[in-house]
Amino acid sequence: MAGTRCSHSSRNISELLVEHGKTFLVRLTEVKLMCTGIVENTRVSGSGRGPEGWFPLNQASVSYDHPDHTPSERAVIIDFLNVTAGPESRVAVELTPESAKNLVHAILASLSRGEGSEARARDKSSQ
Amino acid sequence: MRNYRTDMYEGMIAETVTVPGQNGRVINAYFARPLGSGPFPGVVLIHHAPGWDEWYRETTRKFAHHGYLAISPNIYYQFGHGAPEDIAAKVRAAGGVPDDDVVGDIAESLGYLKSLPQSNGKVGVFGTCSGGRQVFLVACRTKGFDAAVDCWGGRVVMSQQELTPKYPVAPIDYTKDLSCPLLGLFGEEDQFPTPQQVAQHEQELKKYGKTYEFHMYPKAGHGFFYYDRSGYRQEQAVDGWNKVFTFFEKYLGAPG
Repeated sequence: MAGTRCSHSSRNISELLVEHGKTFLVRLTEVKLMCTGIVENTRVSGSGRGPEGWFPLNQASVSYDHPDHTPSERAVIIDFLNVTAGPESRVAVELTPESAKNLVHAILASLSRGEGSEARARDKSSQ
Repeated sequence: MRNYRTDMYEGMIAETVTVPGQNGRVINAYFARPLGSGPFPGVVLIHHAPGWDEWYRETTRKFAHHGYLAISPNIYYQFGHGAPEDIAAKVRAAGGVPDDDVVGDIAESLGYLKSLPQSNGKVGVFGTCSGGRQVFLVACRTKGFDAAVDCWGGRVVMSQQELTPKYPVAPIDYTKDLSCPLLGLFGEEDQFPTPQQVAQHEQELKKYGKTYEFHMYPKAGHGFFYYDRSGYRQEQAVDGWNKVFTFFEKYLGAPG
């Protein structure tokens, strides 16, 4: 799969995760409902860049709902948040469902390549 | 419906105010009203999931323009302050506002409007999206509203798995308690609610002999009034607004 750029947009996200046989990406902490659909929150570690600069992230909120801006009936809305800071500590994206699936695939592919090359490097140094 | 003439005087005041909320707290609200002593009918607006935003301010003024005392309480007040979309994201991540809180806040706004000296004593409730759902909920769980308008409120019909401590009862299960006439506007292409869910709701209204009007618009999905979103449908929106004002005039009396 490394380096693959083909689209898996017609496949569901569960298939993609099963294919990789890993649970590193999605560890759901809560499943909640909003206006129209599902909101899933997961803890994350990292940083996000907002209007005021970089800030630490501790939650990603992923919802399937009506978008604010994207010209689409429904979208996958991802809010990268620092829930202990103010509401402006947020990096938001709205993706069409198809492009959200593509993003999942790209994340998994990237992780697979990166972790694969690290493992190979470790094997080489131990020989 | 009010027919504007070019020789008419028109004036309104629109401003942010503080009003009572659930459990004795104070929340902020956007209040627009025609100038003059009235008497005017009133409308409480329940904002949608995207937040207490510009569209709701405009719509509050629209009702005032049509001769209503119109108030839009900030039902996200307890989540703090910031840009409306940032507060909406915070609410979304928290799983929404508890139904009990919304019912309490809206009942207080109803009391506020009725207490005004320029009120004609009649008050309706209007909402879209999640606010549409909450309109139905409030119209069932409180007494005192004279008309209710639910625009494409999703999750009136809820499965057992969707019920949470914040949403412990599906609104459709309160149908027998509906206390005022109901107008529902929906889009045939909407998935939240689906036409099947709307039909299920309608069956329940019939079962209990409630006064209602449901209109299902072809070639429209969710949020077809929102001129700033891709779901806007001009023809359906114009007709829908006419139905809203006709309905309110029928049950709330002539606007100012």
